[in-house]
Amino acid sequence: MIERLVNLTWILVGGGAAVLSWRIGLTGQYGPDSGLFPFVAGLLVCAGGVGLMLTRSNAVTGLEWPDRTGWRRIGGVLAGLAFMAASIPYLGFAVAGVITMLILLRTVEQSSWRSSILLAVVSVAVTLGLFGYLLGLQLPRGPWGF
Amino acid sequence: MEAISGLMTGFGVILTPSNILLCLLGSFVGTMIGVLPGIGPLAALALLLPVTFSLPPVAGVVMLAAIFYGAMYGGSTTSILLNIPGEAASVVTCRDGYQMARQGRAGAALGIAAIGSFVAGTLSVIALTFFAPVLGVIALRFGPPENVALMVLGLVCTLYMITGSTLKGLTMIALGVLLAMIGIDVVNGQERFTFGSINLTGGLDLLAIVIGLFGVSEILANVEKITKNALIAEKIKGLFPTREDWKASLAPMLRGSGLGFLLGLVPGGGPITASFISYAVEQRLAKDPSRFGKGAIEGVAGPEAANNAAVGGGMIPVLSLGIPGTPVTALLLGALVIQGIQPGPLFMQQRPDLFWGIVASMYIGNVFLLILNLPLVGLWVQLLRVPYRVLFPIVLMLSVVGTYSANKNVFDLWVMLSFGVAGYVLRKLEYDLAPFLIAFVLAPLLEQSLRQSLVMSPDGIMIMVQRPIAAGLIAIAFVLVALMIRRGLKPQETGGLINEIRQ
Repeated sequence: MIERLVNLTWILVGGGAAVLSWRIGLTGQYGPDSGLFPFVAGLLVCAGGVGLMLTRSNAVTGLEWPDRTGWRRIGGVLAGLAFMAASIPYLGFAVAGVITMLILLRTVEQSSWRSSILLAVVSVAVTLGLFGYLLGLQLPRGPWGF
Repeated sequence: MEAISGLMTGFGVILTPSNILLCLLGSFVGTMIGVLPGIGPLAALALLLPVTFSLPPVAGVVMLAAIFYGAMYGGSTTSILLNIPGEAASVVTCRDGYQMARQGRAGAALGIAAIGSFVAGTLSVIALTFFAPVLGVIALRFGPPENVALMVLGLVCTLYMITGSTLKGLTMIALGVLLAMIGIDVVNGQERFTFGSINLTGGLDLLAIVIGLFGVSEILANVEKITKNALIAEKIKGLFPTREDWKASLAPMLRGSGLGFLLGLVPGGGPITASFISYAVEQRLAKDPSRFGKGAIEGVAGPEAANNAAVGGGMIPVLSLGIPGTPVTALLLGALVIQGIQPGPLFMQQRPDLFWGIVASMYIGNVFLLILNLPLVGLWVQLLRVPYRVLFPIVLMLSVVGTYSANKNVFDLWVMLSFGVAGYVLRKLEYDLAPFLIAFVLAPLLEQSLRQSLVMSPDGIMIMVQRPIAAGLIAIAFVLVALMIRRGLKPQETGGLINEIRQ
């Protein structure tokens, strides 16, 4: 099911890109225009999707997806990262990082609150110290100044 | 003679306290990454790439190169002691290395892996020293048509060498090219697939893609089932090989070095393919092949030598021609471009300090790695005790820092997340992600060279067959395509030798 969905995505993405590239223009006064290369690539992606959809030999046999616990862990990682990406501009790296770490440690590993808070604070402080201060990388700051 | 004087220049550049320290640091971090399962060298390089932005180009690239070959060394430790490969090129070492450890010979396996890596690493750097200048001279005759032909051949080779479905590989290459086209066309300022978003005008960020595709997706695959590591040896004894071990390992080491170096030269080859093919060769040459998989020391010596030799070989096309053969060298190329340096035919002439500095650092790095991997093996064994549940949130934190710090743009974090999910699903569906990354890096250069070729040609695309070097390269690409068509596009018929061992 998912494999068919992925193949369909290739067909739609490739086909869509080819149409948009055609509109940009394939050839100009001095040879190929901006649309030619993406047009060819789009056609190939689309053709790849069609080929994969039609041939059974390319399909994965014995595909294993995670069990319920596995999905919970994966969901926890994705939720943590999504939270961090969304909150960094408002909370700054330090606070967003600690909250993300807590989400990860509580949902993925179901660690105790105490060890989760300790590990989250220590690892974010080390990251901030190493990259933010020692190596001089500018990490976003929140309204609290860190 | 030119190579010797160049190498002396390189040692002059590298033998400063700060460069030596960075080489040592890179070797240490690389070994640590190789030892820790769940963090590949590619993801690690991508994570640490922003750190090098503040360093001078020589120091930055020396450190990144050291991380790369350090990871190749370190990968064997986890394979031997845990039966879990620290990185993909050490998969095959699990078979005999772990069996040796179970038989109480963990020290011998670790020792021969480290010595084999050192021998192969040094031999491949010697070959790099003498071979790269020759290729560099030939490359000076390259114009846009030759560059197009070379890049096309590189992509075809990548497709030829992949394991799994060729059709999926082809789709990945096309997708890599397509996504590389997002942004403003540098030739005429035309926007492509930006949909009015200012975040897309500069194109998708390479670091965000690499960290997502190879870092986040790896974490997602690992958290799916977190298992407790079962360390097989607490104290490592007998690291130095016995006379019998030497006798059995010397020829496989040398064969692995030669094979690895040659496969490193070929786009799509690289350390993973080299280690698998070396194992297959040793098994076929053995008097008693049934010993393989049961603790044969040749099964450790050959592949470990091969994957390290492939690093030296892989540096040649990227430094001399500007063509990366593996995702890691594609990232190294990206790192150089970010530093304002374009590797290629003129690189050796324009930046001899950088070129020879990298080569010289590899000699020094190999010595560091032997020291780090033999006397300090106990430290790496202790590192294996760190549970993955503690490790992965820290890696994720570093992923966010690495991605964000390149452009200071939160949009890149969403790109990283999207590619992480995509990478996880595509790995499950047995897509090889390496062709995607190589195509993504090469596509802008390929497009630019093709357009230049067509502008300078009165006969259009025929210029590709009118110039002998370009025609020769295109002919080789056609032969490979014909071979692929002959063997069929079915997955079970591709990469036969490698698939055979993997099973």
